[in-house]
Amino acid sequence: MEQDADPQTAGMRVEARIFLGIASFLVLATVVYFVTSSENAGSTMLFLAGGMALMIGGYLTVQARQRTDAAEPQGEGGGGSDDPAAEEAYLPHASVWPFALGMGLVVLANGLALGLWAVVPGALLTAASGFGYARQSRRRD
Amino acid sequence: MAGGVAADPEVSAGPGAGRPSMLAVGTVVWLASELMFFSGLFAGWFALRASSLHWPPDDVELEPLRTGIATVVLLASSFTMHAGTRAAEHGDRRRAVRWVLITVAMGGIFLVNQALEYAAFEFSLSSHAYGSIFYLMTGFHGLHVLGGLGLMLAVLAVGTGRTRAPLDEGLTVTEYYWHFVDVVWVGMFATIYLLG
Repeated sequence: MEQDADPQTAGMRVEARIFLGIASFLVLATVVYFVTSSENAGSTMLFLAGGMALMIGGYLTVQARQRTDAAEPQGEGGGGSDDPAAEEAYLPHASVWPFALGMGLVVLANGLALGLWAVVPGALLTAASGFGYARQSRRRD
Repeated sequence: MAGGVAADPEVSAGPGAGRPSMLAVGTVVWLASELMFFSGLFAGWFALRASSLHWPPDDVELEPLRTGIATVVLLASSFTMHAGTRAAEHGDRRRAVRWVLITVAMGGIFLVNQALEYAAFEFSLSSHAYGSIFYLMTGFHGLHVLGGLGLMLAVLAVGTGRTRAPLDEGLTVTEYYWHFVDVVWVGMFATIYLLG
């Protein structure tokens, strides 16, 4: 297919097909399993696993279609091999917040067994870390 | 940016013309894994139900109508969240903030109702197997709602005021998360309150 020749869209189409294939298999497995066992728990899990694959496959399919419909040639020659994603995607700088968030959640979760004296500081630390983590990303530098 | 690329927010929000936003793809993959998390709880419900003689136990009195109204509120909040995202995509930050705050309020109403329902119940997590799975399912869902409210506020905190951070991409993936939480609740409500 013409779209498959384009390295940018080809990857998503393959990924979409992989997940749609998985989804098809799981839906089929659900039907076979339910009919032969009439067991609800396993049928539920197989069905939702199919849903999982369908979420990803469906989303990638929609994305691939949108890019095919609005297909524009890459402006600069050789733009396909350079990954513009690396330049444009923003990732936060290293900071204390991921660690603090983790510690807050550890104290909070253990507090469920230890008592309120651990839950409250854990919750405060978690909230403060989330706040700090979000603030960190405001400057985009 | 390459001269030939269309001025399409979905394209410019992510990298290059050929691929969607990596943040959006990553969020969808993560939500698919969260579906697996909830599927374990749903399976637990059905497994316990199948091995119980009396389900639900006698001290369990649910109010499907009341919880149904809360469900409608949560469903409506998906629409308000979408309105917020659309406003952000059109560059209208103030309207976006307004709609997202409305969404936060509606999510808060859902949680307050859940807390009040919990307080009125005569059974607890440790009363019986039904109690355990009931509170685990609805409790984890409630935590997801709470986390979603926190996410909305965090995205607003990052993307408003004097900042160079874009608001639309953050709200788009927050919207994905919120719709997911909504759909999971519809399934949970149907399973626990309607099917029983």
